[in-house]
Amino acid sequence: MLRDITLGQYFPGDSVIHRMDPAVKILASVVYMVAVFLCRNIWSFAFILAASVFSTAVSKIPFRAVLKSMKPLVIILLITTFINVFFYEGETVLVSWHFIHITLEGILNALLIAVRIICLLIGTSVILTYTTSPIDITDGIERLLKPLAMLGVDVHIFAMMMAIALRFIPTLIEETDRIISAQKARGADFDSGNLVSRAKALIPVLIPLFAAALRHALDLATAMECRCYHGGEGRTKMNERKPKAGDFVLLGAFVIIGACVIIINKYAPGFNTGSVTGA
Amino acid sequence: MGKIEIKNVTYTYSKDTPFEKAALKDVSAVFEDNRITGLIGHTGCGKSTLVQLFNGLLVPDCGEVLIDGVNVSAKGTDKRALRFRVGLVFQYPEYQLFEETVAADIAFGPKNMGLDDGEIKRRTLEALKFVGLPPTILSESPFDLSGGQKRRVAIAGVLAMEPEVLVLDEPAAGLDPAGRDSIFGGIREYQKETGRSVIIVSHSMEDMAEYTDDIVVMQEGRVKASGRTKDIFRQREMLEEAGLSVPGITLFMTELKRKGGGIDVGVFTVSDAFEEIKKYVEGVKKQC
Repeated sequence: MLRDITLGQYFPGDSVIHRMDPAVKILASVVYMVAVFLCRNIWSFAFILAASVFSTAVSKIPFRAVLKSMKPLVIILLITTFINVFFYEGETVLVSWHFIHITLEGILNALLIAVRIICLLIGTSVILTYTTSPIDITDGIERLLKPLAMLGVDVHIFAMMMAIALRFIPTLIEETDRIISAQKARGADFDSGNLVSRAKALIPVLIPLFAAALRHALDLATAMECRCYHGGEGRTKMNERKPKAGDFVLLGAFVIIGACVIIINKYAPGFNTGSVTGA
Repeated sequence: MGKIEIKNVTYTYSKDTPFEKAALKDVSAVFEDNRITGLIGHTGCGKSTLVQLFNGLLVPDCGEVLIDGVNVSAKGTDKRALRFRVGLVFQYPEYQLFEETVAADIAFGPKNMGLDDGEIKRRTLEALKFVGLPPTILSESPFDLSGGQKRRVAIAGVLAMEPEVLVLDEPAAGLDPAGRDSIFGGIREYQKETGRSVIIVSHSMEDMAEYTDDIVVMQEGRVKASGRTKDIFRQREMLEEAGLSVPGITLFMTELKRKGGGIDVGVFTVSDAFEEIKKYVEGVKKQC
């Protein structure tokens, strides 16, 4: 059911990555993503894949959970692989039939792009979403965006909106689950019929869900006003967080990973992907 | 018709994740037909999970759910047909209303059953009678009603399916005393008139003592005790172990007896207590 969605889900735990400062973690995942996109040959891809697997091991997130989160990605992977295999213009033609040319380069390119997407997902989920609670993520974003306050952007309100949005995802998922169950109990049928009748079958779910979302929003607004919430001015944090030396060591590790990728790209022999398309 | 048997049922939420939670552990219980059975237990003991097994919304990890001796948890059971046989009213059912008029909302279930308009009309009016609403309400929008009225409309929506077993999860939660009495009174009337089975999940010992024939007590995903209501409420220690209590009036009678009155403490409703005290007072007067 809906509660089994794992993408973007927080796995509580106590690893080095869990304890890292969230703001530094966001920077680290940006560095990691850049590193993934810098990869240009088989060796650098192998290196980044190894780095991803190693990070997963360090985070103590079960590999099965990481694999499970990739399920929704399968279709995207299949499509990009398909397009690359059949339409990549390469030199070593293996099969040629009418307008279809399958080339060695095309297959390799498809494989590498698949690895790139997988690495992106493993890396970002292990470094950030699986190991950082949503509240910590917004706290990190708020601190990273602080400089924007000088341009007149209300960073606190922005972070608060994000925190509330994230906070309500599980609530609304739960609510959706409940409404679906309740309408099923009245014989609602979501799994048969053509597209139109299936879309119509969602009305009994969507209307109560919208009503619930509005109700929650109004209740929350009242509750916040009762506690004299008035935005970020003069507001302090219960847990002030300052990045520690260890955080920068880890950030440094990711920068080194990026540097290694550049070096490997330059000096290791092997197949180079022609373009960065497809991802 | 409408006897539910649960045999060695186990159910776990979010299996194989860090959020894994065993909700039911080897539960066996019988809910007899043609009577009102109460399902009680402390918060999080698995009551709501159990009732969702009755109509196939949840499928047990292992074990069997039998309705009139037929296993309905097996693969290949028509789950939709099962849902018309076991009508489930969730907690706070008023949040599921969605149609433009009360009439259309109550008709949602019967329509899904494929009934014709005349039959739906008959069932709608009958369901309204049991929940104590006037037929004039049918043309109103459910979103314009009061909380209590919405609740009744939602219950009527399940009653109109005329299920063999009616299951209600906390039907009176958050209602005022008059609202509670009227909802439970309507349920009792419905049961007497139709002879179908009713299962009520509740936290209110007073309501359970007043309106149920049988009780099933749950604790931490297991069945702790079951039996006739009056036998269950005699077992004060057992109920307290399960994080529950006896009805307030029973506590009062126990205290009265301790103070020296020769009265029976096995009374669980205010009206019974009234009779018992009256009998005692008259007895004392005669002695004078």
